Amino acid sequence: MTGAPGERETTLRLREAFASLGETAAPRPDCPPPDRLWATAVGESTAEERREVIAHMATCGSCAAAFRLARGLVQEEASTQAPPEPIRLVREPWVRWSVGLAAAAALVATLTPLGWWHQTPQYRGDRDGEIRSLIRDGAEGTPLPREKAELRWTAGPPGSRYEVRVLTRDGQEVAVESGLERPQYTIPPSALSRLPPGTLLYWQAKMLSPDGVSTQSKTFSIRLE
Amino acid sequence: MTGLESGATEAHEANNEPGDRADYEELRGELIRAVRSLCPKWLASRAEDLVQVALVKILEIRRRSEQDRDLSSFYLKRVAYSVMVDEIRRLERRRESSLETDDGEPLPLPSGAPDPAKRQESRELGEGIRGCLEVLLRPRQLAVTLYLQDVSVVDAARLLGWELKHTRNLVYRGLGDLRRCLQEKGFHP
Repeated sequence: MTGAPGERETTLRLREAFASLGETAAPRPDCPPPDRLWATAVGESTAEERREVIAHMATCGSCAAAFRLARGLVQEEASTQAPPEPIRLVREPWVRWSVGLAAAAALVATLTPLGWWHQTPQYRGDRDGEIRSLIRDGAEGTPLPREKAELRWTAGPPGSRYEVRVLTRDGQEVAVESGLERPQYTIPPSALSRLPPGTLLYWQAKMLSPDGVSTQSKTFSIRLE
Repeated sequence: MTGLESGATEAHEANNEPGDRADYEELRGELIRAVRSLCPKWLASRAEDLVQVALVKILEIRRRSEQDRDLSSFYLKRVAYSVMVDEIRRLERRRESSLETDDGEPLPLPSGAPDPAKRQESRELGEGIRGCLEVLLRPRQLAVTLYLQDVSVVDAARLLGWELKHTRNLVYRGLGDLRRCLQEKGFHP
């Protein structure tokens, strides 16, 4: 069906044009969830379910683009001769990790306002542009004193302003402060009073340099005294 | 180490045994590869967040399951895909509601044909195709849609659950309908 050169060109043009709908499309309320698109692309769902999704795709550029993404993966996987070894997870440690990671992700999400998804120019004053914690982090580090719970991190260019947010493992906000002129913040003792000894806190700092460049730190952790 | 590779792992390094950490790093590494293989260029700046969200999703699935579970790279790609599509949809919704972010910066569009005029022409033809697909008989609509998605007739037959010969016939007739419809709309692809 794509044999003759002219016909091949027409087919390519039609496919390009159809794909271009995905560039400006917005998802609709009736768009199938990603799992259904995936199941259709790999042929996991029933034929009737697949036909429903394909019919939707006929008029939805967003889902058509998502389907192409899944198909590309399926084909890539099929071309792999030897499937890689699966990663075996042992249950208990992962349960322990999950809560902390959820909190970390929540923290990242909280500190990522809508506009931040752009490619953020990185501050180059530090060795590799990262904001680093200047306190000993982690559960094995020195516990954070309740009466002087000071968080410190590397400074940006002169005139920079900072924002810091502190959460618990389950995502409860402990403290948030913005407009800081120095790369440090002391968590008020009152904010820590309800937390039991040994609570692990997650914190993240954001820097806004005078030229408007913002840089976000990784998520750090520290155990409360 | 890139930003994508470093991520928020250090928040957890001190809490776990070395073996657990190795498992975690291996999983994270697989997810980074999955996200890289999927992530459109225009979404690259969000890659690290996407890895985090995918990690949390996997851990949540893991926490709910009663048995230990092997996570193949294919499964991880599936999770990464799901997270990616959710994120793309979120951004598409925002793009539709406003052409600018809260910071007043223009939102990037996915890259397409470099020539704006050609791109516009292609989009107009795309709109024409969509309009024509809407009025095609359903079996032909399905077959032609997969054809336009660059799915082979063999795969299309499998996905649609039809005989190969029947599917080929539907593609052939459906494309004829599509061409006629486009011509009526003034397109001559």
